[in-house]
Amino acid sequence: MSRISLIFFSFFTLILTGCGSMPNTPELLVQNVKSGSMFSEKEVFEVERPLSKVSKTLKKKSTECFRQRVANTSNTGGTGLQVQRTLVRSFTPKIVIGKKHTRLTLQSMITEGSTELGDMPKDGWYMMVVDAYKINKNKTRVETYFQQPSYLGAFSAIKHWATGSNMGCPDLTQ
Amino acid sequence: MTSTLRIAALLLTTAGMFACSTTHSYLNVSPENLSLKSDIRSGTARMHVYYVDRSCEITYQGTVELTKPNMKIGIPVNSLSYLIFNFSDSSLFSGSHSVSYERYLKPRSGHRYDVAISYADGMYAATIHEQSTKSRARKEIENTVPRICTTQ
Repeated sequence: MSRISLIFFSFFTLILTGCGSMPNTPELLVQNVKSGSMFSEKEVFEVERPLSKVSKTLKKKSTECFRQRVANTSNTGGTGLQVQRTLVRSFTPKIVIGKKHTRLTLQSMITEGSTELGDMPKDGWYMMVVDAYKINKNKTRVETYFQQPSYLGAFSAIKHWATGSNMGCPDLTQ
Repeated sequence: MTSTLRIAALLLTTAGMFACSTTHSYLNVSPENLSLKSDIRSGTARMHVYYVDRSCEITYQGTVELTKPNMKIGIPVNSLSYLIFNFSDSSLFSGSHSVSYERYLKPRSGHRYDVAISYADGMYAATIHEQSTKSRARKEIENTVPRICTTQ
């Protein structure tokens, strides 16, 4: 994580912890995004693909690309004392596939280098919720809710995967 | 694979960015059954090759610098290999960063393989296809972890 990202993350934690609205459930994250919380993004789009195929793709790609640990090192200090800090963050995707609705969630937590306080769920705070709804047998609506100052690649990857425009993995170190 | 070995491999991958002495060029084997097709729009990419034994322990074999769009190497047939694709990039605002992507491959005799490696717009991929030299039938190799490496 860059120095700028670290500053953003610190602000994010302070602000949300202060407001008591760190997303510890998918519903709270969706609510935060809908109410225009800081660092939140929302995207709604439709794809000409059946829900079953969109769900299968989301399951395959999220397992392949999101289940990982990302280490970020930053250097602070002036010409004298230099401090190097490494944060390791783990990401955990979960998906529940239904006939009319599929929900993918992505949780993240710092596992090394710092301690996160608060009522954090087992696999970390929710940073993204993706809801895919069946419109008809060949059409699906995808709603993506995201709340994080960094890791926006995870957010943009969903549209790539759902539409099939890019089946790569997002670089979560950016 | 034990988590210790996996972490060691990833550390070696990261360390390779900063200290060239920790990695060495991959010593090619015959036949040249793996085509590497790279589309790297920013930064650099490399592939680290490991041999995997029956207990899923890995041995470092060398590194291929993906500097050309088309390259060909040989990976031992009927042996399990562990490939780590490492993408490194840097920018003024985000500093330097590196991401790795792991794949297992057990080449079969009578087959050729090609890997499409890409890094562009913050997305990376390494897609492996297998093609029979007789029937020319071509299929994508799914990204799965071998059973010997999941039971530990």
